[in-house]
Amino acid sequence: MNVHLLHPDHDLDLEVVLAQHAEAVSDDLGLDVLLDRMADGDQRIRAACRTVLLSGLRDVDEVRYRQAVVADALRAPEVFAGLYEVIVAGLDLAKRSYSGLFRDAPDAIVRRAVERLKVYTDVLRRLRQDTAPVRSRMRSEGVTRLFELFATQLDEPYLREVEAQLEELTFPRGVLFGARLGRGAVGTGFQLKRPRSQGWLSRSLDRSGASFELADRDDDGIESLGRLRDQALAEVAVVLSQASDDIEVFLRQLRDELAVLTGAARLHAALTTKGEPACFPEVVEPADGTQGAEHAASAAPRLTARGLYDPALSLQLGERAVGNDLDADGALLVLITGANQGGKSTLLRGIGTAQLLLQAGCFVPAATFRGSLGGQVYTHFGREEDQELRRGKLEEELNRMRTIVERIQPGDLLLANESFAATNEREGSELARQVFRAHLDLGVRVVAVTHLYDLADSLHRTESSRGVFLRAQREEDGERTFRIEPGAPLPTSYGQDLYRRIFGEEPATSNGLGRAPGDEGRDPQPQGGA
Amino acid sequence: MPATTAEPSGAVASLLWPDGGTGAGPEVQPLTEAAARDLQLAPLFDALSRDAPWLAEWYATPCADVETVVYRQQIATELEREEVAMPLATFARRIQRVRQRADAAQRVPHPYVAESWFLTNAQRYLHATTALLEELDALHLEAPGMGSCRSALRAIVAGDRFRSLASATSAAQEAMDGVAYTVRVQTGRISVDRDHGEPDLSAEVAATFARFRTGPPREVERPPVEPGVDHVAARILELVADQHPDAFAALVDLHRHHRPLLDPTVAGLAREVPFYLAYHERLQRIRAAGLPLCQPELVAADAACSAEDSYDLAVALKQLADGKPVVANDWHLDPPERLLVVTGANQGGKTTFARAFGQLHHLASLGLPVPARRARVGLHDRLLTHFERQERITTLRGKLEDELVRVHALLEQATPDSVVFLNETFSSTTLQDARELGTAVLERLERVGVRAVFVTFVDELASVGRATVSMVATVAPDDPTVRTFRVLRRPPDGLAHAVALADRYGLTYEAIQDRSTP
Repeated sequence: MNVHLLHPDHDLDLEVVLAQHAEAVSDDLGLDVLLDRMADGDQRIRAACRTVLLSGLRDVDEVRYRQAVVADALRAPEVFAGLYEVIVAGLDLAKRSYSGLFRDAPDAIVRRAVERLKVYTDVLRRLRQDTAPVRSRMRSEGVTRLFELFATQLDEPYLREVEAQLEELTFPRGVLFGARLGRGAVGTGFQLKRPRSQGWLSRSLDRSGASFELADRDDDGIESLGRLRDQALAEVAVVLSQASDDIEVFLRQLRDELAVLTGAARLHAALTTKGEPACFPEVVEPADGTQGAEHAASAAPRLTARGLYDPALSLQLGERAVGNDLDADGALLVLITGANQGGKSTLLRGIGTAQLLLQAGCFVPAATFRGSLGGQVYTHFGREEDQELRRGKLEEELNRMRTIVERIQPGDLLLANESFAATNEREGSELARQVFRAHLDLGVRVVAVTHLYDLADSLHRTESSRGVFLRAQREEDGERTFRIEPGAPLPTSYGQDLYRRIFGEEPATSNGLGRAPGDEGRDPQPQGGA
Repeated sequence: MPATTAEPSGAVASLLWPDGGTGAGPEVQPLTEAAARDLQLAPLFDALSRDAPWLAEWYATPCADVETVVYRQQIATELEREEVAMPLATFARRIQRVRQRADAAQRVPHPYVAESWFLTNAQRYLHATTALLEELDALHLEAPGMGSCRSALRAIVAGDRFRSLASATSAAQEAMDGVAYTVRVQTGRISVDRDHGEPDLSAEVAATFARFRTGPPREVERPPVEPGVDHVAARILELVADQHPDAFAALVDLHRHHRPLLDPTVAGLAREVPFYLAYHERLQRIRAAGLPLCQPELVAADAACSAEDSYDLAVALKQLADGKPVVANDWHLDPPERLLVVTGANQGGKTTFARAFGQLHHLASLGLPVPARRARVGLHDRLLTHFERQERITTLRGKLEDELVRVHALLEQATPDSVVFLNETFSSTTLQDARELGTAVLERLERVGVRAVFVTFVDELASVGRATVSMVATVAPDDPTVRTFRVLRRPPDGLAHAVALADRYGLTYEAIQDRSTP
């Protein structure tokens, strides 16, 4: 009996070790906000969702398989969440039952196992009962198969049979076993038997036997009886403990996979109740980096979206977040420039989070989305609000980039946010140019936000064939729209708007009313022209 | 089946005596415990008979005639072949277990249990015997003794008694195999019934939960079964017997009509096998070290006798265990020579040499391989030893009296066929007494005609009479303080060793004189 909800041919493995950079990626993209919402206080759900989110799938068919299952979970989220709770409660109850007896005698083992199995039987019944009403609404291969399994393998007659047998295993009429005589007339070959049902016939058969009672204080006799019981129960004790262990393993696995689906459903609900779009992306074959850098470089990554937003940001806002459109099919490079606080980093995060969700087989934060499977996602985020630009910061950035370079493979995705801003524009641009070009030539996708004009301009001139250039929009009056549109990099970052707003006056310009440097003592020259 | 008595089938065969007799004859005296200790054979024989106490008597008793010795030698040689020794060792072990189990079963108080063990024992006995015969039948046997034992076994196995035991045994086993019963255990109450074919509950449970199984079924470790039958089990057994009267009748009949179980010849052979095999196994280390063992040639008691490369077996075992070398020596006595007088350096190996002489005679008389490269000896009627005793010293005179009494008793027992071993006799008396008494004893020994070895510090005794031969424990030619442990036939050294010792320590007369004169 297998779960196989999140993978078509094997169970989810939550013990998988996440890559070293996963922590940084999670921080940079602000995934905690998402995870907290998915968890809603349940640490197990949180951990499971985190692992799944940060360890992507590599096969398109697997992604589609899982998307279908997630879609089904969204159709009846209360059922999935409800089952999760039932299983958690059942496992807990089973663990607590009969923990007092630590003896390893078959007697004790049988009793412990029977108690556990009684609890599990109740859980198994709920699995069938709670999923039956929604079976007809399920569409995915994974969920359909599993619910059908519940319906056929856990039907009521079977469960009643189990319960009857568990009752039998409390031996209300004593332990009955068969034996033969071995050497020295010692009983051997003990086989536990089920007494035939009570009835007048069996009672008369009972009389064909003979019996005796132990004397009152016969301690040796009682010990003898105990040994006989242990011999008789040895086999069934092993069978029962294996059975209860097997069911426990199944329930734990189901619990873990339901945890992920429950988290996903919660996230979906949180976004859609706000009116935000969420869709299952169309996923196409990945750029096959395993065939070498050349091939990877010529492979065509896909990225087309409408209304893409950063879900973490949305969850933190009262109103809806601004969505953006992207047309980056075939582009290895996506460069985002433009006004400060214009939504550049937000778009970057949105792209990164969407890629993770896509690779996790989940829905993405967009109205429509078509993408390709990549490999790992790496982030290299500078501190954009930090104005203290010191030499030490640059070294730290360089180290981080080196760590990434040591691991990154063709087909992977690098999200760079204000990389190398910790130095002057010339130096930073040169560093970034080297790094980005190298990655592109390796077949690594780069999505970068920068305000280094030198960098942006040079890339625009040399990488147009494989790059898409976007610019944060700015209204005439300086208002930000948070819309990012295609556009060439512009030499200024609209710092003037900021200045105007904060200082409440116009910043000095060379053709304005202020003095240019070196003009001290001279009268301001009138402007040529009108 | 009519009850049969324990009559032998065909000729009674033995691995130790050619005519199936057990006697050594009244003239031959077993080696006394004291003598066995003096010869250091006691530890060896004790070890060999630890698990088989009856062997002690056999190891102590010499054969009465050459025919018996040769009979045994041939069997001993045959048993050095692994393909003969192994089946016999297995057979002896199995029969020994049958005997032990039979003894234990006597003490069991519960009905049917003793009978049940009897059934198992009968099976073991039948199997052990037929298996041995099968193995022996496939072999070519050289020793006449082995051949006659094989014939005896054949006769036994083909005989009525054995065959009726076999068929009664298999009938009883088949009957017991058919006994299937059930027990129901409730608190304090036990019910016993015939097996009515109730379903296997474990199998049913396994089938019920099979749909959840992910790996192979787990191994079942059954709790260990207590040996023996306690009173609850005994009561259950009684009820089972009531419910299966025919099967238990077959069991009881077997027990009633086939005792005693073991054919005496079979039992005897099983007891005799370890006599050879235990000894053989004990000498494993000797053989591995390349030390010689041989079958001696038997001659008349008054004929010439000799040994080449003979060594003390007990010392050899100890030396090998400590990784030290073993020294062997030669001797010969050509009539009228009869008495070896051994003198020489203290701690030089005199007593060891003399023990080797004694051990060789005794082991030869048992028909076992002896510690030498070659040997030629006669049998003896008794082997008498006298070792200087340290206990009960009161006065010098009291000790001497004591010794004389003992030597006198020894000489009274000596016959021309005896072997005598005197070790440092009269050594703690004065030189004059030792010389006079020693001479008297040697003359007496010569008159009786015994073969003897006399270890002493009195050099003069080496030339008393025509029957004495002087053997000397020698020292190294270049350094007389070093002992070689070689004992050679030559005139006594005199004081050579003592002088050499004094010289080395600067204690000769001259050396002391030189020191004190300025």
